[in-house]
Amino acid sequence: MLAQQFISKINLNGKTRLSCANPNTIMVDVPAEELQATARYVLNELHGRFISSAGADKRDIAGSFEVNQVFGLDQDKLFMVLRTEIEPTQPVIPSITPFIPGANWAEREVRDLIGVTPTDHPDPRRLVLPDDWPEGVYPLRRDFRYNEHPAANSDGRWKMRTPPPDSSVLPIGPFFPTLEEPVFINLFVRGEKIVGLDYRGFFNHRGIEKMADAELTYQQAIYLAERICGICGTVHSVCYCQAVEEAAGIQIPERALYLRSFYLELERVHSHLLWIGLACHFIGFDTLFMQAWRIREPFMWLSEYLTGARKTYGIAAIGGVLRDIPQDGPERIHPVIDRIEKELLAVVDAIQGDGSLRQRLLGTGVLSNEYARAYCVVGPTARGSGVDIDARRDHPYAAYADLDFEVCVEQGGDNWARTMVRIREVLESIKIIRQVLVKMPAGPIKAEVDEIPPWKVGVSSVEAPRGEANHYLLTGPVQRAYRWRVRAPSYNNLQGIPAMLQGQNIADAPISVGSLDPCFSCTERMGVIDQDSGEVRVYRQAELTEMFIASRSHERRSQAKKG
Amino acid sequence: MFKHTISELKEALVCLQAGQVTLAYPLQPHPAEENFRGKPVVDFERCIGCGACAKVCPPRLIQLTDADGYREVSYTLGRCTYCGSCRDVCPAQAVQMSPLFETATPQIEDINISIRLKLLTCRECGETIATQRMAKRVENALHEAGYSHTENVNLCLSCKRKLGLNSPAWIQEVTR
Repeated sequence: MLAQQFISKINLNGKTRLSCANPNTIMVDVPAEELQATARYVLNELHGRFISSAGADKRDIAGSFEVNQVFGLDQDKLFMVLRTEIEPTQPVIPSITPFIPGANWAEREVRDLIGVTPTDHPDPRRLVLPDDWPEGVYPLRRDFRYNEHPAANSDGRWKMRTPPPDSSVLPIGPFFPTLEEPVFINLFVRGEKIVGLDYRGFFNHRGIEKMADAELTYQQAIYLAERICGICGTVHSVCYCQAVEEAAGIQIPERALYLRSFYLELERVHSHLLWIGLACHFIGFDTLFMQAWRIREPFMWLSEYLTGARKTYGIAAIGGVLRDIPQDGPERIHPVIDRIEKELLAVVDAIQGDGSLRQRLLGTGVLSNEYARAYCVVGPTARGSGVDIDARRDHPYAAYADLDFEVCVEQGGDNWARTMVRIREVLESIKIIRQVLVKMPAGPIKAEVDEIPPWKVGVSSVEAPRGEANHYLLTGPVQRAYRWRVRAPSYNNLQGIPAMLQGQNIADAPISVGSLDPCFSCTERMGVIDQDSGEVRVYRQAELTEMFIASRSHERRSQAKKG
Repeated sequence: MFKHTISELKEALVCLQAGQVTLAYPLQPHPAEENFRGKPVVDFERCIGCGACAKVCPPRLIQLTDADGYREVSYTLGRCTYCGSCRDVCPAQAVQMSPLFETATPQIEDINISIRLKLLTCRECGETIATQRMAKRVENALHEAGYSHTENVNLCLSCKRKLGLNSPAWIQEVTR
């Protein structure tokens, strides 16, 4: 249903104002005092699903801050943005986290980066900014330069949550041992059982949004968007292009739509095969790790042939795609995908009865349907818990409206269910690739694009291998985004970890966290909690190096003694 | 238990069928695919120094510096992301993405590119207009389009105005 028609069905009180940003997006201007009631209405009456919050500093043009709460109305294939203007003299906004737990991080991020504080937020600690970042400096405000380095506040310390009584603390990280990515999880344990946890991530805030808002042109930002994720980069570049196209009302050629679907499914197949390998590596099943990656390799070569790179395809452009499939493309694509399908089925057939695999995956890391909805998780994590959402069907983009595919849903909610969802999705993706090659019409692959008009809003979703990626974009006056907010799928999936690990064994934590297929970023600091005194000590890199050298020389000495 | 054994046998079969797939790289070289986007190479003969590549480069590693009658186009390729934007936009087809991917080097200069092109100065005021190759390209284009008067190519915009050689309004609009 188009946004224009849908508006007539909405029954809100007179203080809110409804408008259409584009055919897929409804803007609702809500005064701050009505925000909670309106969000409840969207949640309960319109069956909205919270996606993200995007704060913007509009003091130079409108004299106020702006906070946008983005919801997906999945049943009606629409987005709804609750826009609240905030007076700079009193930058507070009522928190919606008490009844939408999935908004927890998004609201804290708005506070960290723009400086609009959610009142009555259940966890008001810092999220994105480092511990030594000075108070009262907000990097996404317009008057903060992109290359500014404020003096560090050396007193800043991370405030860890108090562990429950009678529990010990088991720190994992800041380098996650199996994923080789930076994240710091303090597990609170009683014996082998996990009774709670505290999470600290965002060790390397890369300032991607700031670069695109302050320096890069629309065209340059596409490549920056592609580098948000090393595995599903095309998702973000296409999502960014779609957001710009939505905002500017650009129609793109049909062949380009099909090509986008093609490249996105290409990426999904390789990403899921990568994950299957990694998941097996997490549980020590390295045979399957090797086999999954062996199956994946011809696909990487195919991608290199089709796009010019194994990863970061670099195909997205505003108005279409940059590269068509080569003339002899289909002749090379078919044998590779046929082979992958056959080999994957052989492997799946082999592992289904594997006792050790079943023991590690069945019944571990259970995320109930209720929690999955509450924390607004997306992608295979949601579908493994019986939440039937998929942006390809719910918010059709590219050519998905014309393609026939199944949304794979499992009810178990455990690691096994998430694994099965991904395996089934690889097979579905191969089906989609075949359909695209048959149905793709001839024609141009890129539309001519004029200047992008300022102050338009574009909201766009793309179903990444990890779940729905969402971009909110407000166009600016000088051919670059005024505000661009990226919600990567892991952002919400990671918030489901506490619910998922509650009551689990420690040994199942790595695979359970890994089963989200998460993406973290980089750090070089480490906190250790002394279990007797409960004191937190932070080691610097030099100290760690010394400790490492000392332990190695100790090892060598004891080996020499044995010899 | 029985099911488990069958499963393990099947897994062994998968591994045996696959055999050894790793290559003895680098002893056994493995060339990239033909469309591969490797290290950008610039044809010095073709480059006209227009700077279109510098405008689109996302990591902004291409710099133009005008000094002493020469324009230097420099590529600091240590920051290259191999996106191919410079190739896509080059009007002279001077940039190509080569299949080179083994670019590790202890000498950073090895992977940098620098081109020096002579600048054209205004015959009246001496102001820099463009590179000589760009002017030549404009001249050629004008000749091909049937214009014979190309003697004013070496005049800067403000001198053209002073001499009453104002371009029609629509040209000013496009060249603004």
